[in-house]
Amino acid sequence: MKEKNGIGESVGRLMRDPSSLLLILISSALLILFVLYPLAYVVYIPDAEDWRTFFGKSRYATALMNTVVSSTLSALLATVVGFVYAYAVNYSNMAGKRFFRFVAFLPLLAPSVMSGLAFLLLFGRGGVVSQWLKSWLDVELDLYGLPGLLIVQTISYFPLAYMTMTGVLRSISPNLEIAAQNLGARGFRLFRTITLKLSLPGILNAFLLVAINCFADFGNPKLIGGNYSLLAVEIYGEILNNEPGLASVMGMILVVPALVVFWVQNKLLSKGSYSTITGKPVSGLVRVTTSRKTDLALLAFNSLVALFILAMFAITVLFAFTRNFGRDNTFTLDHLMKVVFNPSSPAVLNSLVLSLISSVLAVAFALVLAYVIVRKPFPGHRALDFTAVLPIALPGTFVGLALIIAFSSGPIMLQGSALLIIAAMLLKQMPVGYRGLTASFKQIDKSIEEAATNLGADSGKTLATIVLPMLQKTVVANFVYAFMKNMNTLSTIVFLITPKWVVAAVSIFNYAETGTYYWAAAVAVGLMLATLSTLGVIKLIFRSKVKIFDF
Amino acid sequence: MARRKKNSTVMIVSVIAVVLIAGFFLYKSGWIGGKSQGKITVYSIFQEEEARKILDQFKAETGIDYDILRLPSGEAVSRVQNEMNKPQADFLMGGPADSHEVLKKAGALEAYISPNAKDIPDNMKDKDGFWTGFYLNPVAIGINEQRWKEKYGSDPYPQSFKDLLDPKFKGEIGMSDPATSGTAYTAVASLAQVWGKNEMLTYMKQLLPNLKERPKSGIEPIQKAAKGEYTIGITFLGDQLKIKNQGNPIVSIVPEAAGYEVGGLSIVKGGPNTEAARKLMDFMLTEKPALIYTQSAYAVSVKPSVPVPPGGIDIKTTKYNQSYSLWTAAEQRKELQDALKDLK
Repeated sequence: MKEKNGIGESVGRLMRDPSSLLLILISSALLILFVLYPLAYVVYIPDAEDWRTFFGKSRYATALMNTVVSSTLSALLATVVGFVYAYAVNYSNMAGKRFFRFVAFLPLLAPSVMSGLAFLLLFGRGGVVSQWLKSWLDVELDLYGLPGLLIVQTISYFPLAYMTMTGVLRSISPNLEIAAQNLGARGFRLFRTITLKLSLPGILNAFLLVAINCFADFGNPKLIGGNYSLLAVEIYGEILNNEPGLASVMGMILVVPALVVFWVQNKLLSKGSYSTITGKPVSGLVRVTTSRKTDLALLAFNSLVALFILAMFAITVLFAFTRNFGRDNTFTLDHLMKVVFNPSSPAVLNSLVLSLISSVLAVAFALVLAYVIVRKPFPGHRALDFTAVLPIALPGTFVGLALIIAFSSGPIMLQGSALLIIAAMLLKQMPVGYRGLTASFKQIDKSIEEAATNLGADSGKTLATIVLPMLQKTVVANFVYAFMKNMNTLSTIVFLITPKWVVAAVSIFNYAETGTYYWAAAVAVGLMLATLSTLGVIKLIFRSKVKIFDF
Repeated sequence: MARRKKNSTVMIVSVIAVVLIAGFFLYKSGWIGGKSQGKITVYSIFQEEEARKILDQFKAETGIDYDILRLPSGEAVSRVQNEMNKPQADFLMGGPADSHEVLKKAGALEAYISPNAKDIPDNMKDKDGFWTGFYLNPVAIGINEQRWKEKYGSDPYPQSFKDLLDPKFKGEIGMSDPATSGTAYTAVASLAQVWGKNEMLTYMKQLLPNLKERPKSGIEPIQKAAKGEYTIGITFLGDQLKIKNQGNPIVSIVPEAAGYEVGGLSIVKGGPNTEAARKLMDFMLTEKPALIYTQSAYAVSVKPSVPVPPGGIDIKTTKYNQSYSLWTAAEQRKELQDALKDLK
């Protein structure tokens, strides 16, 4: 039987399938409430005066300029570092590859502000390294502002670049390189004409990803930006000053580059890159592209990056477990007991509970959405699809801003509830899962589902008994990713916390900003312990079905 | 068989997870474990360490547990104002009284005259009981002696605000942003009262190149100065003494025209647990919390019976601006902050 198309037919089909209809209606309602409504609110709230203020004062122009400059430079640095690191891990014969893969995974565990905090503790004017340099070499480090920001953002976002580049480098077929070698290309010429050329689209992609992340970064600039003012930080200030109009204007400006990047990326991805045309890697062929000397150079480079990352973790742990590191190095569990294991200070527990709930919901929502959009086409499914992926393009600061502005006044009041925090986390993570699941759905033949339908199962039952088990791996992987991100997010929820719902990332940020470094470090350690133990439990439940600790 | 077993493990784990999470929410909302008389929710402008010490004591005496969020005073003011149709907090702890005065004007506070407020002088509490003073703290110039010696040798310390304009201090001073920090606002509001608004603005403009940074929280400059990030931090005297008494080389100077804060306490109108907030107000105005606070934060208590802590400085012995009016400061707040935003 030929499938019929057309609106009438699809509506008719939906009417005969009430559970699908229900799923569609619920997901549309949720997306309209939590994506479109807040967005509309943000656009609607500023008046002409706010726009004039923004474009009239040099303070904001400077912040905008600074943001563009620093994000571009950071993204450039992070991409270069990520590329070289990935190249070394995937293409060279250096020793300790497993170790380097493990180190690149570590920053994912850490809250985003931790790199800023660790940087302060190491390289701030009073930091451990700075003090050492001062007393031994009489050199004064002053990295506040742009230089410090570049270093911290490079370290924080290099894993993102590294992972993207690893994917790209692995998909390049060794055939090509071997062919080029047979034709006489060696060394740098081989690298330049084949490897680099083939990975260019991937490099561009990594650069853009890192750039929009830097653009919206809030915690690090706030901690170490000094007088170098940035847009995301200015937005925060205006929210504090009770100027939601002005904050909205800046929020919208913050979104523009993200949307552009999003658009460029979609173009890039839909066109396909060189690397996929060459086909799958051929097993058994091992490329030898680096000389002994290059191997050593790459080893040195990767060791330096790894040293940076490990030092970050080491200094945080040292501060968490000593009275006041540098002045009083006595071991103590005091800080941990005071701010982690204390019923009056439940920030880590709050983070854990909210992240878990939000990640489960995000994955469930993504699954339902992908199912109805791929499998049950209905009028308006394109609009729904667009709304669902839109939050990917929105910076965290903007999502938080939109939610707090829309739900603290107007007809729907949700301010002060945990719901708003859960919604914010969900919005940022759901699109990632949704994209992945949409792709998986397209790969799975729909005949099994049709068989189930023919045997009398409705959409809900099909989803639960057929689809979910088949997609279990993807679902769990998405959950793990969403969970780790939610545990560590700061910019999305910094506006949304209340005394009842302080979350760990915000605590770390607040303690670091008021100089209570040992408490900041203790919460960071507590948060990482909570993340690790949750991942451990997930690993125990799903055993070999999920890859979490495989590097 | 094996598969079935695995599925039931998953089931059991999910049931446990759901029960735990539900229990957590019920506990948070006070449905279970309610033998302590509900929770009180506090916005604290105090440093969190001191606030927690006092609230732990309150909890021990009354059985009332607490939730706390530490905020700079500017953020506290805008939060309480924004939440007026659905207040989240019961009690606002600390911060210059002019911020409380702003909230009183906005109608966000609940009047309550505690019987324990009797011995507090009239210029340190609101006559209608919308806020009550808790401590006094003048603005001071805090200098890291060690860094001073390295940079300026035996030069004399700056004694007045104008001395800070010396170009040799380029990038060596930290002062928080008067738009978000009550500390910095107190400093500029006092200058505006003594010199007039325009001269204050000119001064701040000239000071900018010397400022290393303008953080949003009041205490931060002296913490950074103590760590050697820069030489001079402008903060409240108490913050400096506290850090000095932790073993940092800090010297404090209260210059002429230095404003001072009356650290205030107030009850948020329509908060979730106003009953407990009144109890907390009564408790705060007894001697015990005053002692905890002054000994830990080195401010001077508004209660004449509470002694200046060892290592503290009696505000009366300093050159602070005695005619500083926090009421005027509250009135000019918006106007001055807007004008300051245009600097740069």
